[in-house]
Amino acid sequence: MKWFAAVLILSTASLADIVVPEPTPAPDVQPPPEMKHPEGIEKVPMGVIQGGWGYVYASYGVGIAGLLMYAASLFLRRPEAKS
Amino acid sequence: MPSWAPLVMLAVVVAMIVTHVAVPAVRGWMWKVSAGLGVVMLVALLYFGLFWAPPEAFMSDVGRILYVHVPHVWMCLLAFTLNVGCAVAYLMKKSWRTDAIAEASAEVGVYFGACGVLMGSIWARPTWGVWWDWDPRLISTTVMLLAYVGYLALRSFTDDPERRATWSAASAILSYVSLPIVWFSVRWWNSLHQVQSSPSTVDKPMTAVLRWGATTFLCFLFVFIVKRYELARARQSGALELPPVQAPQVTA
Repeated sequence: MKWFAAVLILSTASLADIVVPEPTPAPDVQPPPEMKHPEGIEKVPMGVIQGGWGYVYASYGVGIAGLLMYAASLFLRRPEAKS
Repeated sequence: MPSWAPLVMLAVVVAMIVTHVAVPAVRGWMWKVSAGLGVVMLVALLYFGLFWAPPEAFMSDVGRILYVHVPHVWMCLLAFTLNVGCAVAYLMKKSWRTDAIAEASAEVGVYFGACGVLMGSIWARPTWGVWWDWDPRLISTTVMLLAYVGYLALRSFTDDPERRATWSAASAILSYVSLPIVWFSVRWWNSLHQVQSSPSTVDKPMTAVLRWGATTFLCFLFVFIVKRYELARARQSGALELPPVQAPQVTA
Protein backbone atom coordinates (compact mmCIF):
# COMPACT_ATOMS: atom_id res chain seq x y z
CA MET A 1 0.00 0.00 0.00
CA LYS A 2 2.88 2.36 0.84
CA TRP A 3 4.56 1.62 -2.46
CA PHE A 4 1.33 2.29 -4.29
CA ALA A 5 0.90 5.63 -2.52
CA ALA A 6 4.47 6.57 -3.35
CA VAL A 7 4.02 5.77 -7.05
CA LEU A 8 0.78 7.71 -7.08
CA ILE A 9 2.40 10.78 -5.52
CA LEU A 10 5.38 10.63 -7.89
CA SER A 11 3.23 10.24 -10.98
CA THR A 12 1.01 13.11 -9.88
CA ALA A 13 4.05 15.27 -9.29
CA SER A 14 5.40 14.46 -12.74
CA LEU A 15 2.09 15.32 -14.37
CA ALA A 16 1.97 18.62 -12.50
CA ASP A 17 4.59 20.02 -14.87
CA ILE A 18 2.31 19.55 -17.86
CA VAL A 19 0.52 22.78 -18.56
CA VAL A 20 -2.44 22.96 -20.85
CA PRO A 21 -1.44 25.23 -23.75
CA GLU A 22 -3.36 28.35 -24.35
CA PRO A 23 -5.77 28.02 -27.29
CA THR A 24 -4.40 29.83 -30.29
CA PRO A 25 -6.86 32.08 -32.07
CA ALA A 26 -8.07 30.87 -35.44
CA PRO A 27 -6.41 32.61 -38.38
CA ASP A 28 -8.48 35.36 -39.83
CA VAL A 29 -9.09 33.95 -43.30
CA GLN A 30 -11.55 35.83 -45.43
CA PRO A 31 -13.39 34.00 -48.21
CA PRO A 32 -12.49 35.10 -51.71
CA PRO A 33 -14.76 37.82 -53.06
CA GLU A 34 -15.80 35.67 -56.00
CA MET A 35 -15.90 31.90 -56.09
CA LYS A 36 -15.46 30.45 -59.51
CA HIS A 37 -15.71 26.85 -60.66
CA PRO A 38 -12.34 25.38 -61.69
CA GLU A 39 -13.70 24.44 -65.09
CA GLY A 40 -15.43 27.76 -65.50
CA ILE A 41 -18.87 26.21 -65.91
CA GLU A 42 -20.72 27.91 -63.11
CA LYS A 43 -20.19 31.12 -61.24
CA VAL A 44 -21.32 30.80 -57.65
CA PRO A 45 -21.44 34.15 -55.87
CA MET A 46 -23.12 34.59 -52.48
CA GLY A 47 -23.82 30.84 -52.13
CA VAL A 48 -26.60 30.79 -54.71
CA ILE A 49 -26.23 28.64 -57.80
CA GLN A 50 -26.51 30.60 -61.01
CA GLY A 51 -27.77 28.96 -64.17
CA GLY A 52 -27.58 25.19 -64.35
CA TRP A 53 -30.47 24.76 -66.77
CA GLY A 54 -28.49 22.15 -68.67
CA TYR A 55 -28.55 19.90 -65.61
CA VAL A 56 -32.29 20.49 -65.19
CA TYR A 57 -33.04 19.57 -68.81
CA ALA A 58 -30.76 16.53 -68.55
CA SER A 59 -32.65 15.25 -65.47
CA TYR A 60 -36.06 15.69 -67.04
CA GLY A 61 -34.71 14.08 -70.21
CA VAL A 62 -33.52 11.07 -68.21
CA GLY A 63 -37.00 10.76 -66.69
CA ILE A 64 -38.82 10.88 -70.02
CA ALA A 65 -36.31 8.68 -71.83
CA GLY A 66 -36.46 6.16 -68.99
CA LEU A 67 -40.25 6.00 -69.18
CA LEU A 68 -40.20 5.51 -72.95
CA MET A 69 -37.45 2.88 -72.85
CA TYR A 70 -38.99 0.83 -70.06
CA ALA A 71 -42.43 1.04 -71.69
CA ALA A 72 -40.85 -0.13 -74.97
CA SER A 73 -39.13 -3.03 -73.18
CA LEU A 74 -42.46 -4.14 -71.69
CA PHE A 75 -44.13 -3.84 -75.10
CA LEU A 76 -41.45 -5.93 -76.80
CA ARG A 77 -41.57 -8.59 -74.07
CA ARG A 78 -45.39 -8.81 -73.98
CA PRO A 79 -46.79 -12.34 -74.03
CA GLU A 80 -48.69 -11.76 -77.28
CA ALA A 81 -45.45 -10.95 -79.10
CA LYS A 82 -44.08 -14.45 -78.45
CA SER A 83 -47.22 -16.39 -79.23
CA MET B 1 -51.97 25.46 -59.45
CA PRO B 2 -54.06 25.33 -56.27
CA SER B 3 -52.50 23.36 -53.44
CA TRP B 4 -55.41 20.90 -53.34
CA ALA B 5 -55.07 19.90 -57.01
CA PRO B 6 -52.31 17.28 -56.58
CA LEU B 7 -54.13 15.78 -53.59
CA VAL B 8 -57.30 15.41 -55.67
CA MET B 9 -55.32 13.77 -58.48
CA LEU B 10 -53.64 11.49 -55.95
CA ALA B 11 -57.05 10.43 -54.63
CA VAL B 12 -58.19 9.72 -58.22
CA VAL B 13 -55.15 7.57 -58.99
CA VAL B 14 -55.43 5.66 -55.70
CA ALA B 15 -59.11 5.05 -56.44
CA MET B 16 -58.16 3.71 -59.88
CA ILE B 17 -55.63 1.33 -58.35
CA VAL B 18 -58.08 0.11 -55.71
CA THR B 19 -60.76 -0.39 -58.37
CA HIS B 20 -58.33 -2.34 -60.53
CA VAL B 21 -57.51 -4.64 -57.63
CA ALA B 22 -61.09 -5.04 -56.38
CA VAL B 23 -63.05 -5.26 -59.65
CA PRO B 24 -61.74 -7.85 -62.12
CA ALA B 25 -64.01 -6.54 -64.90
CA VAL B 26 -62.05 -3.29 -65.23
CA ARG B 27 -58.59 -4.85 -65.37
CA GLY B 28 -58.57 -4.91 -69.15
CA TRP B 29 -58.77 -1.15 -69.58
CA MET B 30 -58.03 0.54 -66.26
CA TRP B 31 -54.28 0.52 -66.93
CA LYS B 32 -54.92 2.35 -70.22
CA VAL B 33 -56.80 5.09 -68.38
CA SER B 34 -53.95 5.35 -65.89
CA ALA B 35 -51.37 5.52 -68.69
CA GLY B 36 -53.31 8.28 -70.45
CA LEU B 37 -53.71 10.21 -67.22
CA GLY B 38 -50.01 9.75 -66.53
CA VAL B 39 -49.03 11.20 -69.91
CA VAL B 40 -51.30 14.22 -69.41
CA MET B 41 -49.96 14.77 -65.91
CA LEU B 42 -46.39 14.38 -67.17
CA VAL B 43 -46.90 17.17 -69.71
CA ALA B 44 -48.34 19.32 -66.93
CA LEU B 45 -45.39 18.40 -64.70
CA LEU B 46 -42.99 19.69 -67.34
CA TYR B 47 -44.75 23.05 -67.22
CA PHE B 48 -45.15 23.15 -63.44
CA GLY B 49 -41.63 21.95 -62.70
CA LEU B 50 -39.72 23.91 -65.32
CA PHE B 51 -41.64 27.20 -65.41
CA TRP B 52 -44.39 27.55 -62.80
CA ALA B 53 -42.53 26.61 -59.61
CA PRO B 54 -40.36 29.35 -58.08
CA PRO B 55 -36.58 28.89 -58.00
CA GLU B 56 -35.17 27.49 -54.78
CA ALA B 57 -33.49 29.92 -52.34
CA PHE B 58 -29.97 28.46 -52.61
CA MET B 59 -30.11 26.00 -55.51
CA SER B 60 -32.07 28.39 -57.70
CA ASP B 61 -33.27 26.67 -60.90
CA VAL B 62 -31.23 23.54 -60.20
CA GLY B 63 -33.77 22.79 -57.46
CA ARG B 64 -36.28 21.94 -60.19
CA ILE B 65 -34.50 18.60 -60.56
CA LEU B 66 -36.00 17.55 -57.23
CA TYR B 67 -39.51 17.46 -58.75
CA VAL B 68 -38.50 14.39 -60.75
CA HIS B 69 -35.65 12.98 -58.65
CA VAL B 70 -37.57 12.66 -55.36
CA PRO B 71 -40.75 11.07 -56.88
CA HIS B 72 -38.62 8.49 -58.68
CA VAL B 73 -36.99 7.43 -55.40
CA TRP B 74 -40.37 7.43 -53.64
CA MET B 75 -41.80 5.11 -56.31
CA CYS B 76 -38.74 2.89 -55.94
CA LEU B 77 -39.29 2.56 -52.19
CA LEU B 78 -43.03 2.00 -52.72
CA ALA B 79 -42.37 -0.78 -55.23
CA PHE B 80 -39.89 -2.49 -52.90
CA THR B 81 -42.42 -2.28 -50.05
CA LEU B 82 -44.99 -3.98 -52.27
CA ASN B 83 -42.33 -6.55 -53.13
CA VAL B 84 -41.62 -7.48 -49.51
CA GLY B 85 -45.35 -7.55 -48.73
CA CYS B 86 -45.88 -10.08 -51.51
CA ALA B 87 -42.83 -12.06 -50.40
CA VAL B 88 -44.18 -12.40 -46.85
CA ALA B 89 -47.64 -13.23 -48.22
CA TYR B 90 -46.16 -15.94 -50.45
CA LEU B 91 -44.31 -17.55 -47.55
CA MET B 92 -47.48 -17.53 -45.44
CA LYS B 93 -49.74 -18.82 -48.21
CA LYS B 94 -48.26 -19.99 -51.49
CA SER B 95 -49.80 -18.16 -54.43
CA TRP B 96 -48.39 -17.71 -57.90
CA ARG B 97 -50.12 -14.34 -58.17
CA THR B 98 -48.27 -12.85 -55.20
CA ASP B 99 -45.03 -14.28 -56.55
CA ALA B 100 -45.70 -12.61 -59.90
CA ILE B 101 -46.51 -9.27 -58.24
CA ALA B 102 -43.28 -9.55 -56.24
CA GLU B 103 -41.26 -10.12 -59.40
CA ALA B 104 -42.97 -7.23 -61.21
CA SER B 105 -42.60 -4.78 -58.34
CA ALA B 106 -38.91 -5.60 -57.89
CA GLU B 107 -38.06 -4.93 -61.54
CA VAL B 108 -40.11 -1.74 -61.70
CA GLY B 109 -38.56 -0.61 -58.40
CA VAL B 110 -35.06 -1.14 -59.75
CA TYR B 111 -35.99 0.90 -62.83
CA PHE B 112 -37.31 3.82 -60.77
CA GLY B 113 -34.38 3.61 -58.36
CA ALA B 114 -31.78 3.61 -61.13
CA CYS B 115 -33.40 6.65 -62.75
CA GLY B 116 -33.59 8.37 -59.36
CA VAL B 117 -29.91 7.78 -58.66
CA LEU B 118 -28.98 9.02 -62.13
CA MET B 119 -31.01 12.20 -61.61
CA GLY B 120 -29.44 12.63 -58.18
CA SER B 121 -26.00 12.40 -59.73
CA ILE B 122 -26.91 15.09 -62.25
CA TRP B 123 -28.25 17.24 -59.39
CA ALA B 124 -25.11 16.69 -57.30
CA ARG B 125 -22.78 18.09 -59.97
CA PRO B 126 -23.87 21.75 -59.73
CA THR B 127 -24.77 21.61 -56.00
CA TRP B 128 -21.97 19.50 -54.50
CA GLY B 129 -19.44 20.01 -57.29
CA VAL B 130 -19.08 16.27 -57.94
CA TRP B 131 -21.07 13.66 -59.83
CA TRP B 132 -20.72 11.12 -57.03
CA ASP B 133 -19.66 11.11 -53.40
CA TRP B 134 -19.21 8.17 -51.05
CA ASP B 135 -21.92 9.52 -48.80
CA PRO B 136 -23.99 7.28 -46.45
CA ARG B 137 -27.20 7.95 -48.39
CA LEU B 138 -25.61 7.24 -51.75
CA ILE B 139 -23.80 4.13 -50.54
CA SER B 140 -26.90 2.67 -48.86
CA THR B 141 -29.02 3.39 -51.94
CA THR B 142 -26.47 1.68 -54.17
CA VAL B 143 -26.38 -1.35 -51.87
CA MET B 144 -30.19 -1.47 -51.89
CA LEU B 145 -30.37 -1.39 -55.68
CA LEU B 146 -27.65 -4.04 -55.99
CA ALA B 147 -29.56 -6.23 -53.52
CA TYR B 148 -32.66 -6.08 -55.71
CA VAL B 149 -30.64 -6.66 -58.88
CA GLY B 150 -29.36 -9.77 -57.09
CA TYR B 151 -32.97 -10.68 -56.28
CA LEU B 152 -33.88 -10.51 -59.97
CA ALA B 153 -30.77 -12.49 -60.90
CA LEU B 154 -31.65 -15.13 -58.30
CA ARG B 155 -35.04 -15.59 -59.93
CA SER B 156 -33.39 -16.53 -63.20
CA PHE B 157 -30.94 -19.01 -61.65
CA THR B 158 -33.38 -21.86 -61.13
CA ASP B 159 -36.00 -23.39 -63.40
CA ASP B 160 -38.03 -24.90 -60.58
CA PRO B 161 -40.84 -22.35 -60.03
CA GLU B 162 -41.53 -23.35 -56.41
CA ARG B 163 -37.89 -23.19 -55.41
CA ARG B 164 -37.49 -19.89 -57.27
CA ALA B 165 -40.47 -18.36 -55.51
CA THR B 166 -39.38 -19.51 -52.04
CA TRP B 167 -35.76 -18.48 -52.44
CA SER B 168 -36.63 -15.12 -53.94
CA ALA B 169 -39.17 -14.44 -51.17
CA ALA B 170 -36.46 -14.97 -48.57
CA SER B 171 -34.10 -12.82 -50.63
CA ALA B 172 -36.74 -10.08 -50.85
CA ILE B 173 -37.11 -9.96 -47.07
CA LEU B 174 -33.34 -9.76 -46.64
CA SER B 175 -33.07 -7.04 -49.31
CA TYR B 176 -35.77 -4.98 -47.64
CA VAL B 177 -33.54 -4.54 -44.59
CA SER B 178 -31.62 -2.00 -46.67
CA LEU B 179 -34.67 0.22 -47.11
CA PRO B 180 -34.90 1.71 -43.59
CA ILE B 181 -31.13 2.13 -43.66
CA VAL B 182 -31.53 4.23 -46.83
CA TRP B 183 -34.35 6.25 -45.29
CA PHE B 184 -32.64 7.00 -41.98
CA SER B 185 -29.05 7.19 -43.27
CA VAL B 186 -29.24 10.98 -43.45
CA ARG B 187 -30.20 11.11 -39.76
CA TRP B 188 -28.00 8.34 -38.40
CA TRP B 189 -24.76 9.50 -40.00
CA ASN B 190 -23.14 12.78 -40.97
CA SER B 191 -24.41 12.83 -44.53
CA LEU B 192 -23.81 15.36 -47.25
CA HIS B 193 -27.31 14.56 -48.52
CA GLN B 194 -29.93 16.74 -46.86
CA VAL B 195 -32.52 15.25 -44.49
CA GLN B 196 -36.13 14.75 -45.50
CA SER B 197 -38.12 17.95 -45.88
CA SER B 198 -41.65 18.43 -44.61
CA PRO B 199 -44.47 20.56 -46.05
CA SER B 200 -44.05 22.95 -43.11
CA THR B 201 -40.52 23.84 -44.20
CA VAL B 202 -41.11 24.01 -47.96
CA ASP B 203 -42.88 26.72 -49.91
CA LYS B 204 -46.45 25.74 -50.85
CA PRO B 205 -46.00 25.90 -54.66
CA MET B 206 -42.93 23.65 -54.35
CA THR B 207 -44.85 21.14 -52.22
CA ALA B 208 -47.68 21.14 -54.75
CA VAL B 209 -45.35 20.45 -57.70
CA LEU B 210 -43.56 17.72 -55.75
CA ARG B 211 -46.88 16.03 -54.98
CA TRP B 212 -47.96 16.44 -58.59
CA GLY B 213 -44.77 14.72 -59.71
CA ALA B 214 -45.29 11.88 -57.23
CA THR B 215 -48.85 11.35 -58.46
CA THR B 216 -47.67 11.41 -62.08
CA PHE B 217 -45.10 8.71 -61.52
CA LEU B 218 -47.55 6.73 -59.38
CA CYS B 219 -49.66 6.38 -62.55
CA PHE B 220 -46.67 4.94 -64.41
CA LEU B 221 -45.70 2.75 -61.45
CA PHE B 222 -49.17 1.22 -61.53
CA VAL B 223 -49.14 0.70 -65.30
CA PHE B 224 -45.65 -0.79 -65.33
CA ILE B 225 -46.40 -3.22 -62.49
CA VAL B 226 -49.64 -4.32 -64.18
CA LYS B 227 -47.92 -5.01 -67.52
CA ARG B 228 -44.88 -6.62 -65.90
CA TYR B 229 -47.22 -8.76 -63.80
CA GLU B 230 -48.91 -10.03 -66.96
CA LEU B 231 -45.49 -10.95 -68.32
CA ALA B 232 -44.58 -12.79 -65.11
CA ARG B 233 -47.89 -14.66 -65.14
CA ALA B 234 -47.36 -15.71 -68.75
CA ARG B 235 -43.91 -17.03 -67.88
CA GLN B 236 -45.33 -18.87 -64.88
CA SER B 237 -48.04 -20.52 -66.94
CA GLY B 238 -45.41 -21.62 -69.43
CA ALA B 239 -43.30 -23.09 -66.64
CA LEU B 240 -46.09 -24.62 -64.61
CA GLU B 241 -48.14 -26.26 -67.32
CA LEU B 242 -47.16 -29.79 -68.10
CA PRO B 243 -46.15 -30.47 -71.69
CA PRO B 244 -48.86 -32.15 -73.72
CA VAL B 245 -48.65 -35.89 -73.92
CA GLN B 246 -47.79 -36.92 -77.45
CA ALA B 247 -49.09 -40.15 -78.81
CA PRO B 248 -46.39 -42.47 -80.12
CA GLN B 249 -46.10 -42.27 -83.83
CA VAL B 250 -46.92 -45.50 -85.55
CA THR B 251 -44.85 -46.20 -88.57
CA ALA B 252 -46.00 -48.60 -91.19
